[in-house]
Amino acid sequence: MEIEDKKDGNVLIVKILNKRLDAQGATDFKEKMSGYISSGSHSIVLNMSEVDFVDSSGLGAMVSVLKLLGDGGNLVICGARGSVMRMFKLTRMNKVFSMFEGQREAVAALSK
Amino acid sequence: MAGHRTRTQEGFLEIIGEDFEISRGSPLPLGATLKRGGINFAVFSKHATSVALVLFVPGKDDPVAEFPLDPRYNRTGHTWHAFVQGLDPGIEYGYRADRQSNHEQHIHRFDLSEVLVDPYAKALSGGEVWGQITNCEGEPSSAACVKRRRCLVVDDDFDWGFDQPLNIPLSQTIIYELHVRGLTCHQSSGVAHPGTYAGLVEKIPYLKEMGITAVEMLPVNEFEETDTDRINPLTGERLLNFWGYHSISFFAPKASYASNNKNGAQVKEFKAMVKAMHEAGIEVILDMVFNHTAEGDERGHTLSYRGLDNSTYYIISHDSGSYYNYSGCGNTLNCNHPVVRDMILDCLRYWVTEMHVDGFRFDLASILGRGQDGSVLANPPLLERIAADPVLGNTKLIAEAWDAAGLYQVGTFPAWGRWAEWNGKYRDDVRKFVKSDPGMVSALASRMMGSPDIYQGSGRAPYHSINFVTCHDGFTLADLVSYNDKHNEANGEEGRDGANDNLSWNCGREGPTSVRDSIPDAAYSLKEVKSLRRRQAKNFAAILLLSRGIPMILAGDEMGRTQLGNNNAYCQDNETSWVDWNLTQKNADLLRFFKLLIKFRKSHPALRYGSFTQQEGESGFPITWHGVKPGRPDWSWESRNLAVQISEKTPNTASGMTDIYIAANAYWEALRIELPKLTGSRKWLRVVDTMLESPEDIAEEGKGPCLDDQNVYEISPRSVVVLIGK
Repeated sequence: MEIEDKKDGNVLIVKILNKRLDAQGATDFKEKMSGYISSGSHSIVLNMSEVDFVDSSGLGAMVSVLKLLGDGGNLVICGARGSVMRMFKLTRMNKVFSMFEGQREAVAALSK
Repeated sequence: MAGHRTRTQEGFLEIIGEDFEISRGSPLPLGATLKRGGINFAVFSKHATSVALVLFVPGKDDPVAEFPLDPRYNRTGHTWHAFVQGLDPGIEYGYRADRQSNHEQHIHRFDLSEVLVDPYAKALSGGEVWGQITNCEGEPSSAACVKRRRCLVVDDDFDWGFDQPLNIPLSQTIIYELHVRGLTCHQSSGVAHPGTYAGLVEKIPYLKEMGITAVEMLPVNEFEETDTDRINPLTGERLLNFWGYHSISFFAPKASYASNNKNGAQVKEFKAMVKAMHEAGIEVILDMVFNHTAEGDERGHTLSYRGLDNSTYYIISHDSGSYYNYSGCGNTLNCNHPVVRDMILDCLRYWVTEMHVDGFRFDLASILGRGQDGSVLANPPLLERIAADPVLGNTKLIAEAWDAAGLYQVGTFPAWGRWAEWNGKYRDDVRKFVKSDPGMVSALASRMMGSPDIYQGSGRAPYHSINFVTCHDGFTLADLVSYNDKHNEANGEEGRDGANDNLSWNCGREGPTSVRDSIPDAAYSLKEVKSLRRRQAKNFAAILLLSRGIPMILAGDEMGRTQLGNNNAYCQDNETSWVDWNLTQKNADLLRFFKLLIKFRKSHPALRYGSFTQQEGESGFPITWHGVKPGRPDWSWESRNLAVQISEKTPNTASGMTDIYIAANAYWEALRIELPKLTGSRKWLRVVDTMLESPEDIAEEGKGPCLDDQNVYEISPRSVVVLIGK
């Protein structure tokens, strides 16, 4: 799982560079995200603009990160498009995660 | 600071743990299985191209998540599966299935708009309140209504102590057929939890005192009682599917039969009921309706099987897609398809191993012997499998050996020496004899001996004959002797429903015998009619409980329960069907008669003898037939009386021998019968004479009077006499 991270104030922006977030990469993704959380990041924007496929395992990993963040933190999504966006809607995860089109809006939401 | 979370978010996040993860999972076992750290979900669908696991938070209508299962990753063969880590019991679930490029919608009836019930669900939510009528939007409705059901993941944990199925030999069994709701729903029941498993537990002392050894329950698995829109034309009241022969789920106990059904607590309450029954020495037999489901025909509701894999679960025409209807209820479960066979086996094993159930009665069991094209199989794999299954080795198996399409297999049901049958011939022949039909004496002899003519040929024993004169389906005992014709107007079908051929006799007056109905020049006085009815009821009871084979009593018959002539009260959730416990006082004599007969049966092994191979004159339990003259039974067409003498070795008595003499006279005049001579110094003592008023009608054994005349007994018209020679 290839990811890239950068800070914008208190907000950590994580961008997935792979085309797929599925069963193969889910565990690795979760471990990496757990690492960020344990090192103090509690407001995270996940940029999915490069991803064109996500499955239940991938979504499950994202949900578990959200759960891990607990009441004091949040994980929001930006850049989801096409089949990835459809997947979020189909699985109703668009109601579990706050979804934003652009990265700037996402960061703004977490910086409020 | 982080953005606020929404309520929807919380709903889903609350039910999962921090270790939440969805992984491949395992195809077996089917259903939702609690495993370390999570739940494994597995469901069969051969023809789906996509299946999604749909999760719900209890109490909310809309799903909180739907996880599509990956056809490459979450599928093995035709089984779809996933392991969801970080999920605990208490969540609700279902499946959504679809088939892309479905050119045969009439064969593969996938419906993406429905969340489907898992055929292996152990509990369902949505049906907690009995009779609640709502439409799909949750509003009150006047139309037939099938409420949305969700599958519940329940914790199997239960403190069984040392409980296990009782394994009372079939030959020693006395069955009491009851309806869980009907038994205690009437206010006269005096229980704290009417109409429930818990209410049933409160009636255990009564059942124990009666002496029965098993209760056979009308369906207790989930069904929809509001799936009819019929109205009682006499009262305007909405009718309900009270009996419940219309399964939604075969594994899940009916939630509305539980006093506490929050979050699947019905499973625990059912277990507690079984445990309490076992502590009282009473077995639990369930009536299972595997022949069809509640999904109906082409116009029916898609609830589960139809939406998962229609052409596997049902016998259909592969041209038109129409459902074969051997059940008379719209569809026919494809019982001999290997997948369905497995489901039925898994289900039976679940009830035995997890719920500690002792036996099953299979509704319209002949359908379980039909092939995938509906043809009647000579050696149906399903029936053989059940008969030989190692887990079910001690489980009582009782077939209703016919179906609604004319297949009648009483005596020829593929049995492998294991299956017992509801003996419909017993019911019919005994009814004919008692109402004085000619030509019934030899049939009565066979019925009283366990029907060797029916069961001996297939290598079975007398105890494979479940003897009954009444059951839930038909007249009650009180009505059998009070009505010539059915009176089903209240069922809303203009009297078309229910059997027409009841072999019943009203004893001279149709229906209730109140003074207002008095007809001055009627053939019988009201008093005579009442007394004859009581006598006929006792005649039936005596023949039933003294016959070899397994007696089955319909709940309430022992206290004279009436349905006012309704012989098909499947839809009557009211006083027509409910047991009125005031009758135990009003008809205390009849109740006493039943109890003492049961006691008598239990103290005489000769009446429960488990083999046909015994010949007259052999040692053991020699049988001698008598007529008006000893040793000369009258088998002729016009004969209406028969007596049988059965001898028992009783080493703890002075003579070492006890003789039971049972005489049944269905003739309308009294007969002087010569009694057989007893060996030694023994005397004939009277146990039963149904002509006599209570308490003379039946004596506790050994307390009955010694006959003044040891040579001749005048047996009254239409009565049964039992003597004991000791």
